[in-house]
Amino acid sequence: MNRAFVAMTRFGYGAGSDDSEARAVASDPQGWLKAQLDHPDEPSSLQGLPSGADQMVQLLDFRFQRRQAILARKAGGMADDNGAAAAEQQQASRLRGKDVQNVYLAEVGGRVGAAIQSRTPFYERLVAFWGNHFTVSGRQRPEVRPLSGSFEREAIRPHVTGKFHDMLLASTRHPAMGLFLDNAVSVGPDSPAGLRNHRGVNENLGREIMELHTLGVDGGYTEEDVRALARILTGWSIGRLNAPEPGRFRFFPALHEPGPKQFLGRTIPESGEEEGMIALAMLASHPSTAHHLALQLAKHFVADNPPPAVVQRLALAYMKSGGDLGIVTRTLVAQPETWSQFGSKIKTPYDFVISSARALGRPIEARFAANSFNILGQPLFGAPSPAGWPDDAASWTGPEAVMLRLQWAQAFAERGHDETDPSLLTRAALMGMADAGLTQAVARAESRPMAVAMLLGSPMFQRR
Amino acid sequence: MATDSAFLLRRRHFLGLLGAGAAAQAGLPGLAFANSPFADTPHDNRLVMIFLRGAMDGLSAVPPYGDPNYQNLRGKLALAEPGAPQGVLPLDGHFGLHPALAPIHPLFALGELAVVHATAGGYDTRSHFDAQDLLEMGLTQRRGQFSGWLNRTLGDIDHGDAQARLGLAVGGTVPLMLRGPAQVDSWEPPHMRPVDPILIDAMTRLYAHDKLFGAALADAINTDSLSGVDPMVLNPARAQPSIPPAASARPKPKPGQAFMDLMRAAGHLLSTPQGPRIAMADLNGWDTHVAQGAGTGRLAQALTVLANGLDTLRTSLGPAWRNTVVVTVTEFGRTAAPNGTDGTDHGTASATFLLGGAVKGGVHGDFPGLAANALLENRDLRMASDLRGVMKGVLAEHLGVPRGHLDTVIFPDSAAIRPMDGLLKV
Repeated sequence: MNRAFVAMTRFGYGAGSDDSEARAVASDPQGWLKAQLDHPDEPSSLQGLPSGADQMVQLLDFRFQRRQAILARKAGGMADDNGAAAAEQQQASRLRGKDVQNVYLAEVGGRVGAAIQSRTPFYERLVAFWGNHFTVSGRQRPEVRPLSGSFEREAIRPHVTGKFHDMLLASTRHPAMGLFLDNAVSVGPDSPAGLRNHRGVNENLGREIMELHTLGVDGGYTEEDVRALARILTGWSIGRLNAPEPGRFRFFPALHEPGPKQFLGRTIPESGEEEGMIALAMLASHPSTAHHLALQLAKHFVADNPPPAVVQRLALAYMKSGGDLGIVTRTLVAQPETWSQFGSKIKTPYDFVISSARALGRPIEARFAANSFNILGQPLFGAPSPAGWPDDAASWTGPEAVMLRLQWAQAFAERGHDETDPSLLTRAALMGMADAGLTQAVARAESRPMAVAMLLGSPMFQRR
Repeated sequence: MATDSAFLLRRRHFLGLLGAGAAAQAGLPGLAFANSPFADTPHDNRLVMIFLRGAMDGLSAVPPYGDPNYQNLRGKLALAEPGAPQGVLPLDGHFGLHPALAPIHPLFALGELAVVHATAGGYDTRSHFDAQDLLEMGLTQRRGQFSGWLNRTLGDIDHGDAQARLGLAVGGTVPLMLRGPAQVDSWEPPHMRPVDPILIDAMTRLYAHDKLFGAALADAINTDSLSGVDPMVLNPARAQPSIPPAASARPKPKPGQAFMDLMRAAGHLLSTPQGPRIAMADLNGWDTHVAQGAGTGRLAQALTVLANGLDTLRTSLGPAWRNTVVVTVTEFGRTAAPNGTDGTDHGTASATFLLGGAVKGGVHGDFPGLAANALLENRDLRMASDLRGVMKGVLAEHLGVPRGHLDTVIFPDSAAIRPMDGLLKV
């Protein structure tokens, strides 16, 4: 197997429509991957997108206005203009929905543009991988929808070759995560606010941090640890509108559960915000976390059932480096097994769409991209659960899914202006790895779009 | 890359025009500007080009059943005599129509269906892509430019409004024939069309050695899993509500429904007073190397789709049908005799249909015949009429394109190809 093809397909978004990049990769495929970790592109398509704090302020403002309106209506009782007030409120909600959709589409356009145009596609794959690891889903929680792109830009992207601990901290403190997993409203029952308002702890974030983000479900923690982490994180919330830095992470001592906490066999003394810092540092350096992250990475980049030796080596690299994801990633691309099992992975719908666009040398409009992901069952920033999207073959190759990909490939092929001979496109996209059957089918197809659809639908293009 | 984004901008413009206006006009899109000042001007004439991609077998579509060599030469592909089950539908006693073309057969008696047989593009290639490109560029050899002759025609049409977009691509893409300097609009159905049976066949073969994909596709075909699913909206913001839906709800699309939808849209847009005047659509499914069939089979299916679509277009155009010429073209014909797999291979001349109220019905042009010494290279129907000549006849009479332009700009270096006379009503 052509190692340059493996590098570009398995670790990137496939080859482009001209072979200049492929030729550059050919001399040192592994070096090409490693160099991307040192000097990632700064995607121009992501510039000018709104910050998470900015979007959070807009959300808080919308909630505030709505509350005011409701109060005003209640105060007005059965007054005559009640119908008008209701209509006004409906109108405000509609406008808000439109704003949110526009932000979402801008984020989709930015993400897709970065993936298609990037000269460091491996880096983009890592961003997507870790973004999925720390899923915040606007489909599950619509309020998160305008923040999911900024979450990835602010909490994930800067850390994919840095320390995992930093990424864990940034994602846990990002307003999108606070909203998504409810920690922003979690209150220590014995805190001043809890005693006053009879509110309590929400365990959602505490549980998912351990189950999904760090230790893994079999990582050796107890229900007591879940409750402890939830109490430790009380007060980790979001600055209100009238605060100095509204919409950003803010620790509220008045919401924080007092007293020492027993967590993973250790006593964390009462220390407010610092308790959470200690707990997250413990989790980031835990061997179970090393194993869990190693397994996730290997499953994503190597095989649905990765060789245990690869997982062990990645976990070891994690522990020895103090959780340095750059070093772990370098270890990943140095594993012989990651180069020898080509075809064991199937592209997810997102990767299928992106690699199709790259193969044909076409940009994709944000709305078309968003609709394509929806149709193929993987709406962007819209995973069905905090566990994120699966990436194993079984999840994406049901009969209907396979047929849908062909349907999409046909539609995408038909909407283009590909003046290049499909045989040349095939040679470039698959870097000469097409088998005789595909080569012949493409050459003999009765029209260009039909030939292009065959290329995109072929196992060689859909596997990696 | 630049081409595509520019194209998207233009498309947005078009749908913007249609979208808002149409919603207010309750099913009469485009009538925001009623009372066209252009009635009865050349601008009122419509031309629809339909590209049959894959090379239609003209000897099956328009069988020369009166030719003494027909039955012998065509063998298994020969159609039965008129009157027999699945027999030829007679035209003039010598030529007939394939029985699958029954929906358009009545037009012949009405004088609204013409056939030019033994047509070809004048180039010497049997490659689909090359031949399609050349036919669409109006050339017989590649040269630097990459624009379509139909687009170049747009600049020659007198329409009084320099801002009007006369060209319309119906379907997901703008075919090369309609691409070039003149801006054109496009209409795209909101739903992704079902996977083409040809693509399913091809993928079944390509998946034969891949257990995962092979089994999944076989399952999907067996359970027909897509038919129960709502059509998938790829472009929800577009398209609606410009085209009124088909009269009846359709839970399960029948074969050819997608093309009928395109033709309904084309007819609707072309019939609006200030709408486009020249439209083009593609239809796949003609590359019948295997199991082509005679009265039934793959080619019969493709012809059914074509005929249903043409009939839908006629209905959808309404009174505008009177001013319309529809032309079907294909990149080349197919071998006169069957190959070893009950199909036909790439050949030379095919047949061209012209339909519409402006057409002068009948069988036009010469026919070289099927005698062994009449065939090209002992295998293909020989070209009798150059497609450029056919199109020149249509463009000159129907759209008023000057001869000088036809010979140089529209079809470069083609002065020797005379416009074909008598294709249109005077």
